[in-house]
Amino acid sequence: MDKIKKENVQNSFWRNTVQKFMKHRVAMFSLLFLTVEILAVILLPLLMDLDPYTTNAGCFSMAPDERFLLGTDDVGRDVFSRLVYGGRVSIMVGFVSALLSAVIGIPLGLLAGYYGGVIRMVIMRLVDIFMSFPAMIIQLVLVTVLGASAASVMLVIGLLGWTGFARLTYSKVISVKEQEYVEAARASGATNLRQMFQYILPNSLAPLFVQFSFSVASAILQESGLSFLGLGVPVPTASWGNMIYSAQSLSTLVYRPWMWVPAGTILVATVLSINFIGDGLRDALDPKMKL
Amino acid sequence: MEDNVLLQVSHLRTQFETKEGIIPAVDDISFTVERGQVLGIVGESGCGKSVTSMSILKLIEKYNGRILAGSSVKLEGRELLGLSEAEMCNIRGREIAMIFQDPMTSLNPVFTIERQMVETIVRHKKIGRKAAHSTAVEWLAKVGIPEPEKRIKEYPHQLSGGMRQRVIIAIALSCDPKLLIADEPTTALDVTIQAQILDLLRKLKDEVNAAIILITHDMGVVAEMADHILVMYAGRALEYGTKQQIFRNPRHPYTKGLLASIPRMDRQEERLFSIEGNVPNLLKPVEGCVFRERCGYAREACGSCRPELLSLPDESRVSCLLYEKEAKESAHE
Amino acid sequence: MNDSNALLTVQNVKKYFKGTKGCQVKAVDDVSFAVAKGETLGLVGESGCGKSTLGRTVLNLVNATEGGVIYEGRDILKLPQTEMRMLRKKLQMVFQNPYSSLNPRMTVLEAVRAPLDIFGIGTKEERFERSRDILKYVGLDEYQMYRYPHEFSGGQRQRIVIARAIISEPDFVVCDEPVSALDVSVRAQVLNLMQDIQKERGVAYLFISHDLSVVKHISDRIAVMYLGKIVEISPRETLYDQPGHPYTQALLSAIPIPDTDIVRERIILKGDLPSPMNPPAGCRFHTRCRFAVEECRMKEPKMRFDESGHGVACHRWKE
Repeated sequence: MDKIKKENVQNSFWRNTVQKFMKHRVAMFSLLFLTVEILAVILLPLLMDLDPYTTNAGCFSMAPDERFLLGTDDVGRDVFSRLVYGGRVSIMVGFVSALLSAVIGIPLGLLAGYYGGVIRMVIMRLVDIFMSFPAMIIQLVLVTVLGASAASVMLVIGLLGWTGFARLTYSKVISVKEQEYVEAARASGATNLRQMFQYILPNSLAPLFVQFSFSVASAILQESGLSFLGLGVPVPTASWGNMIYSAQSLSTLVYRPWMWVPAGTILVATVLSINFIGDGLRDALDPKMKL
Repeated sequence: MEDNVLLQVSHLRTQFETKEGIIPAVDDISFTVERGQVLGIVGESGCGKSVTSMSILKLIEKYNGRILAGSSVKLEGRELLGLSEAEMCNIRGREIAMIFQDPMTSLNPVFTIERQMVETIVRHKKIGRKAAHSTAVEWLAKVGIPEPEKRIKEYPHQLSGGMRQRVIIAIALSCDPKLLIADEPTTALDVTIQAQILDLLRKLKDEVNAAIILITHDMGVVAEMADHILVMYAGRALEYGTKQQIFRNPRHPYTKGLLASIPRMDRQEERLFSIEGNVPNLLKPVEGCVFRERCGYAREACGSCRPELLSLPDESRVSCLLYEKEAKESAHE
Repeated sequence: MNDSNALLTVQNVKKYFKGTKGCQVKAVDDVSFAVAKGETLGLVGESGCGKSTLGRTVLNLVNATEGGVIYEGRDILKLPQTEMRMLRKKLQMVFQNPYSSLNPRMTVLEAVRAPLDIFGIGTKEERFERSRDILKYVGLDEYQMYRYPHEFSGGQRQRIVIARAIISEPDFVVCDEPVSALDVSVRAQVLNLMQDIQKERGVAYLFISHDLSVVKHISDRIAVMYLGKIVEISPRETLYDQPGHPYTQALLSAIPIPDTDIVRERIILKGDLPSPMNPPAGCRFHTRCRFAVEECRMKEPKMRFDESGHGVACHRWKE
């Protein structure tokens, strides 16, 4: 009897969180958008006959018509197909590298903030060193060494992006650590790990959600940059980044907007929705926020 | 008798609008303060005692508060609530001075004591800087700051908490206000320092002949300082009387409970009396008496209508149905 | 008190903090006392006298500079971290501010259950039941268990904090100003609860407070601290009836009594608390003391006890 009751109430905590999130209209809309987008880039190639690679002879730089929904690019490839396939790459690169950065940066920031002293010194100096290097150059070198592929791009962006997470976590942790409830946990005999992960980290998460959404966005853009230099996702493969970079030529920018406007629009929309979802999550997980 | 009335507050109602709803922080409070008298307003946190004082000075707007129509605050017969902000600025500090709870934050940390004092005095008393400076030094000496000529050049952080509170008192009194509102003036201080400050306030009160409204949660402090006491609870006045009436013969069940629940220095009790329950949430409108839910004497009638502030034969007032009969008898006489 | 029934003995504990410019802040300077099983030792003093630091040092939450705390025959200040952690089951703490001493992201149930979770006491069901029972005991309803701290008033939160402190059945609880942040009417509830707990469970308290009337109400014995030192320690009645140290006398007379019939002579102390960075030589109180003589400026007074266990650190005591 008690058990049933207990589970009910515990479920209702999650239900509460979900409800709070659902009340956050913008976040809900963003989630919907992102879901549809991810489903689309996964499913559309299975349902439709999409071909991002074939260069259709004689159809260079064609404006949208019934055959090519979004027209063709300057070598005659279908822009719509490339947009869908490019979405697979870009979204994956964005999330995987941001996740990698978070997984490295958050624990390091937590350690530095919690222990202080020598550990803090070492970690924070490491952050300084990483941040003072010109990231693009290191990326260039690393990708050259590892070979250009989606995997190496994710790895490199992820490995270089942790500093933001580490610094943010650190600054939040040093203030949360001073809260009385952390001392109370210690007085109750909590181990260092428990203090860090049950008391300090949950109370430091809010800004990290925002950081994560920025990270995803910035990874997508960095991938574009690398692609542009020929070190991102190898050439025939589409990504939103390399589609946007086709707008580097003035004539494309001005006279052939169909080649870059769709990719640009969807990139901005994706980044924005990730940001909104981050905001929504932050609020929903805060027990102090009312429904 | 009428001439002696310095401040008359009647039917003061102040509300705050928040996201969650309207909070009636002060709900129909009336009292008078006579010249040279000390009125103690006591109550627990959130009872509206500070909001009352802020409302008198019209300092409530910036906190999203609103003084409702029908309220009246008269200083020497002059209505304050209708005054413009510019006119209020001349009242604040000049005629009504205020001392806040936290001596750490009510002084500007980047200016010397001298600058803060001289500016206030020049603005309010319209005298030259030189005269203002000597007034400032004189007042620092009066509040018991050693070597005032030297200390006046210092910055607030160079002074201890007790010294800062003395400086604040000096600033407040240097413009010869008619009324001094002291909002928890000693709460942030240690007991030995509190004793010094209370001692000082008492001495100065006689000297400058100002009335004081002393706002505190500490029954001990009002017992020492006040002539009259107003007991507030959840935005309402529950009891008003002279100090002797309140302490020797508390009428309202809340006042009785409050006095009984304080550990006493002069006797030892096995167990403290405790008022059960918690202060009501002001967001939910209260039907009837606000203290009903925690009251040992609560009857059905207490829930139906709000008890008036009844005048009793000994001129004290209480807002409780228990005293209805007594009040009626006194009205007949 | 003889040492045989002492639960916890504090011996010559010192805690110095590094201040600016190489100065040392002697927050706690050579303090010794003992706490018996099931008794309440009140510790009073003004802000900055080191009473909170002392409470934390006794529980080894801050590292002592010197000295020892003997509990169950061992000096807990010298225990390795893991052993000290296991001992925390028996030595708990209640904090001053109930608004900040509960993790805002843990439900009340999780917060109270935490000590059981930490020490792996009982099965999951047993822990749940014990937490529920203890919450009921401190006066919370079952339906409130899954709520978060911010949904409770200060008094309720302090009950939750107390429940958390006693759930692992400690012998000794340091209470650091447990009622200072509470309103008068709620304060009495919490004090009564703490007394009930002591009666039923035999836990000893070190009750730290600046409020002498509260300390007097709850304590069996009282220690008075001034600038890092205990200046007087005695059974409650003796302290209030015949305070030995001039500081205690001033402290007692400074408290406003909520009564209009009692008129007392008040001893107003001159001046402010000296800085703990640079405490006066000799007796630390001599700068504000009305009885100070040359000896007080030169020599630091030792704590002397009379036969009733009343100890005073003053050269001129009983003169």
